[in-house]
Amino acid sequence: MYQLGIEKIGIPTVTIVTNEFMGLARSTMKGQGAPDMAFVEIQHPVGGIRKEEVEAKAKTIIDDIIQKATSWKSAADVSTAKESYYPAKTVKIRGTYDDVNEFYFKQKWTDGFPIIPPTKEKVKAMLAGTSTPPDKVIMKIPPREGGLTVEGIAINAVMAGCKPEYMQVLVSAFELISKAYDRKWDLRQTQVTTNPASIMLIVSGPIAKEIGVHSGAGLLGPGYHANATLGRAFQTTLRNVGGAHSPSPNQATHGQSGEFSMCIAESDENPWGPLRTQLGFKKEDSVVIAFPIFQRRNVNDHWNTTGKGILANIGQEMAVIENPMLRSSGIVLLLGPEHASTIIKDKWDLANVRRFLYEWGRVPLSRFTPSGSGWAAIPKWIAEAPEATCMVPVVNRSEDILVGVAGGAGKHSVILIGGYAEAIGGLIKK
Amino acid sequence: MAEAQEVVDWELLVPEGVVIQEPLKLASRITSLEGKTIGLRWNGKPNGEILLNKVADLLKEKVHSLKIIKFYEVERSTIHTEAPGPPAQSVEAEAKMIKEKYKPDLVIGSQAD
Repeated sequence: MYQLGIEKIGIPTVTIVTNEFMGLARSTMKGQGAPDMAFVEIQHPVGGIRKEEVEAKAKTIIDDIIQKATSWKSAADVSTAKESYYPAKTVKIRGTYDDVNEFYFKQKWTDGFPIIPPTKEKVKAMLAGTSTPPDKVIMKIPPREGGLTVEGIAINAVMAGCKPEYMQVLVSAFELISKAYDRKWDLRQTQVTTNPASIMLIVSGPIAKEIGVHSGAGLLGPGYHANATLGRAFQTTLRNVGGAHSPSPNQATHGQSGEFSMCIAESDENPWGPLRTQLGFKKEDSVVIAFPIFQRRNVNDHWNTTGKGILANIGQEMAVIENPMLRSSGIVLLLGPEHASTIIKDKWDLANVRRFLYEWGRVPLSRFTPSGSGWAAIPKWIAEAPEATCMVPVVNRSEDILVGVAGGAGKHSVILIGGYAEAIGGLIKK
Repeated sequence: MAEAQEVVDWELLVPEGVVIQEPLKLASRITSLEGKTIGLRWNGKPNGEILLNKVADLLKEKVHSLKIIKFYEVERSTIHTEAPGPPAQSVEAEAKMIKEKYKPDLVIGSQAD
């Protein structure tokens, strides 16, 4: 939290927070070691209302601001309890399998579906799927800043119904995210935003077949064990260790189904090379790709018989007001095999596919409001363009569009529209 | 799972991990606004600057000797939401710049939507 950075260097603060966001503010504060803060609560919302309404709300909090500025005292004690990340804490429950599920649900440790109870025996068996030691602390997950150990991943993997061989993907995914988070890959926002953000995992390379991650028909739907449980374990770990529970501090207005589970493989039958090679890895590598997305948009095109026609329709579907450029991310296009086949028949290379989509996937500048936190990321040439004529691309560069192939028979492709961070890949360590 | 529906004693592992943080010492408080310099910090969320502008007006009405600095007007690089990355490294440099350049006695921030 920004205000804590100010406090750390010796300047007191007062922080105005709407009542709907107070849970997030307090969770973030505690995760960063502050026992309490001088908050002033204002009635939600502040954004999206008229100026006079905002000003009227300011009048309601002015006395509280002065009081908090000059006479606030922390009511909380600083905890000095000694704890360690490993081994994990245990709970003892006397009851049935249903009682266990009810208990875990009430602690907010489940996604609402039943779980497999994480006994010591099951967690030990799960840990056999990775060579990384169970006590290794991989990262702290925001906003709670809970410490994630390999054992912690295994606990959540048991709950989600994973097989031990899936652990190598999960551990590698979190190691990838840990390194990226250190260099400002925005995990925090995906955890707490009002946007429908969720991180998709794409398993790419020989390991996908070895452990059964599905890349064919219906890959984003139910019926595939590795897809369902790997994605579920990943999401459950993020939520439990990061404390990012809905409705607060996960403030998602609607959320999305990807927050239950979102893990797929890609087809290696990609005429332009699979996503992992587009990210700089070798074809023989096994890679996990993490990509925070806001939307999955289907492109239904049964009629075009040319690559240009299909790409034009995809470009049009990419042109959404929720512009990934504003969110420092990008787009992953998953072409259905039949669309890919039509496009390659017309001899489109990867650079031209990207360039065409970059030119066609544009939104009129007039549909954006030039204010707000994301606007600073917009290049100068767009920010200063004449509003009436400027068409804004949805990514900064054509290379920010990755082109994968996945899915089964049918004339469909899927556009994954990113938010907050770009697609990243890391080698899967066995 | 008939047998699993029997009442048994379970010992289960907690899936949320542990939070270990060095306790953060908050800054010493001021006891009066008279003659103080107050910094206002907007995170870029819509209408936050309108709220803070009005707060500035109301504070000045109540305490004439106040000096108010709107960081969002004089240091536009401070207009952003929670910076990405681990909290320890996120705002340190910016906070030091604010302290050295403007020497505020208190910073009032507007958070959230």
